[in-house]
Amino acid sequence: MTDATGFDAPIPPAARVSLYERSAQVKQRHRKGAALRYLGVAAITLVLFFLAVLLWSIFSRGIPALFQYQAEIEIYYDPEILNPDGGPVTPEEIGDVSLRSGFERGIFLISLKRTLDSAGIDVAQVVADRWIEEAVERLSAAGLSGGAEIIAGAGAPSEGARLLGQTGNTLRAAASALGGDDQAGAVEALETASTALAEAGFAEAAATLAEIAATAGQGALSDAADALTATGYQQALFDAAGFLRQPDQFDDGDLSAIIYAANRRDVRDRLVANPDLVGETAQEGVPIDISVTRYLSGELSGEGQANMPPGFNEAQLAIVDEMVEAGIIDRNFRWSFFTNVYSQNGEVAGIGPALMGSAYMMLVVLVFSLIFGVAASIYLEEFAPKNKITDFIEINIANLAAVPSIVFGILGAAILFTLTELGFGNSIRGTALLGGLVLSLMTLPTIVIATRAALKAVPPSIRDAALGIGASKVQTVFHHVLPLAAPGILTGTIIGIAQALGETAPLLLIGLSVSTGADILSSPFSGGLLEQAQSMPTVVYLFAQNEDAPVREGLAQAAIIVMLLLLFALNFIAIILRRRFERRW
Amino acid sequence: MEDTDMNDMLMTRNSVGSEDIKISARHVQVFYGDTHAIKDVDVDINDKTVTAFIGPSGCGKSTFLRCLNRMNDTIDIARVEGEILLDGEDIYDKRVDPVQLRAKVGMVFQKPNPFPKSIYDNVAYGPKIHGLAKSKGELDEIVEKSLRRAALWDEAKDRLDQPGTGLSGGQQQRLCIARAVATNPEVLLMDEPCSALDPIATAQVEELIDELRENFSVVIVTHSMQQAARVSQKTAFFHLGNLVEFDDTTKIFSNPEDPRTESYITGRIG
Repeated sequence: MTDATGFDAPIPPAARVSLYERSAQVKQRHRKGAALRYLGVAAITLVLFFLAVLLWSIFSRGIPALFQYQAEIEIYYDPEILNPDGGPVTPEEIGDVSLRSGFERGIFLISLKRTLDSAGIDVAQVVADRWIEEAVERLSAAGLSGGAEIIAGAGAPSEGARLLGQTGNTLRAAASALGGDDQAGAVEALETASTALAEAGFAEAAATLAEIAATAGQGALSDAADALTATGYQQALFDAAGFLRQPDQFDDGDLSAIIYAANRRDVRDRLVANPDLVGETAQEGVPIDISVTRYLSGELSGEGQANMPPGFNEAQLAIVDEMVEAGIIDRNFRWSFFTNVYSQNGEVAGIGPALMGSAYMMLVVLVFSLIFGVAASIYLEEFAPKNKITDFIEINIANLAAVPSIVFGILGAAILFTLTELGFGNSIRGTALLGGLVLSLMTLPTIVIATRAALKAVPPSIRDAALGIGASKVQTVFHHVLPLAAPGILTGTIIGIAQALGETAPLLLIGLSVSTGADILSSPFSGGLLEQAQSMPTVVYLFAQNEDAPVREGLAQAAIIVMLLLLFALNFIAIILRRRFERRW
Repeated sequence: MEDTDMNDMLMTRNSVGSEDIKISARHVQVFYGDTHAIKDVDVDINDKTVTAFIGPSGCGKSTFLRCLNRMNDTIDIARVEGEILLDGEDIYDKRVDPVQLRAKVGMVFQKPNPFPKSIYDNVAYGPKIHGLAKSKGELDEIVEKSLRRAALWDEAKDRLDQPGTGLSGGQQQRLCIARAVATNPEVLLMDEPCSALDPIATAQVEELIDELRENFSVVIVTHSMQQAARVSQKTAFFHLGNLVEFDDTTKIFSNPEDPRTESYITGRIG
């Protein structure tokens, strides 16, 4: 207390400020806090928005692609087509037949026709009706009402086409007469056209033409010409005539185009496998053309040029509509997508080898990077002396984690070239083993870093306890430290594997996108690691490069969905395992 | 604590003690890097006796304790000089395997650190790795005996398969003691075994230490002078890395020779 002498001058009392009033400083602090909060909310909203857009674009396209429209067709293995000369058909003969010879197409066409017949669908009638509808629509759009009756009155569509064509010709003649300077001739031509329209049954149009003739009669030839062009009758008549000529041009090729072309190959394969099928009928679901699929799933409306499936016309879609109505076409989950090999053709393309290849690669990654990664981490963390060399190794491992994956791909490719020079490169090119090894290299640093962090996190008291009892260093690590670090190691490993699952670039470089993967699918277990394989990301890449829009914009997304589900499953397993192994201390 | 009580207790507990020397340390020096942590310490630890190391924080008592079973080996920068003889054999001799040494010189730590395993596995771990039990029956016997020695058997016998980490703090520390005695050590080192415990658990552990004296040579590091007075027969006072005074506990607490010891036990330093 004595020390306080000199400091006991009274402190002037501070002005009393109410707690209810906020000082300027507090207000500013609140403003800063609020700004930071809003910034955070905005950032999260933005992220969620992009995530939603991403997921929506994937799922809205991918989910429909996971379903396939199939036509249930009575396949009739017609002996006459198989052997036009009559007599028995041997499997050898069928096997020898070239795919181009058209016998499969014949079988298909006959089967399709029989199926449509038995469903009560008259193809010619459907096609004619559809085109007549188009023609009437075209006419009425130009103000030529009564088209339906006129076409019906003309008899067959081709007759209607002739009538409309002739009427159109008179209009064209009138138009060219108006282009000259012969007033009388022009008036005459217009009157002829008017008469032709009246005779055909277009009363209103005839009256319009008579008015134009009157205009021309007063000498205003250019006005008359403009008025005639403005009606658009001529173009409408020619267009409608063109539509009406279509039914005659509809042929078998247009019909069988609805069904996916390569289905025919299956017919032959099945016949070779089972010659007894000749002369028999078998109901079968065959995929229909993938462009038509898009029409059926509602992605293309079928109205207007841009919304037509490429290569198809209205009449074919009309038949498809009829087939849907008759229940011949139905929608099924596309199981074959998971089992089929890769193909350029979207109808039969699948991700079977990719799933298999990815599974094998993950297995290789798991074995290699887990064993080597954990071993390296344990050595570095528990046994290695702390000196310049281990520091150097540590820095390099951390750097390795940041190396772009394509660099590992280049490394893999370099090894591949060396092996090829030694003479056995082709046997390993594009295999799951090579892919897995390259991905292991890539995953190793991730696992080492995660494992070391997990080992570091084990409390030193546990080590002390074990050492104090007389456990050796190795016993301490393997009996106590490692089990406690296991959840962390596991999480790191699964993160690494998930990373490897999505990696594309290195796999493209070492040839995992070159084969269709048929080999790995035919012998998944005997030679799985050493067969040419694919992987999920490379198959997504291949789908995304396809020339058909339905594959680009459907199957690629479907494959991505499968990949995402796999990743979710992996993460889920990681969480389960963590919960299971987690111990408190 | 009243002086009469303390003297009373000192008389009862601290009177007996074997005169056989178990551990003999000569000119022990410990360096942590450039820090000279222990300066030329000579000490003799008797068999079947509780020896207490007291002193202010950072005086080196724990460091010295950890020299006695070579736990300092795990610290890269630690360097030990001088000789420490266990039954006349230098434990820092090149031929000595620290693993074998630690089976003979057990250790109990400041913070209870049971393995995150069952109570049974905690106690059985030591005998297992040292091959002390030939059968499951023998192992069961060792576990029971150790838990009884640690006065934990009655509380733990019905829950041997439950995790040791689920016990209370005092029980965990007794479990650690059971774990340490299960390997049948000759010396038991205890590094502030009661500093994380409440007074009741402390009393139980102290009781236990007194019983353990019948079979083991116990060395205990403690911050509490009362505890040292209660449980030990010999007391060593460390200060700034020096062994200031080492004598019978009764003598240290009643009639210390060195003024520093007196300052410390009367609360003037430390």
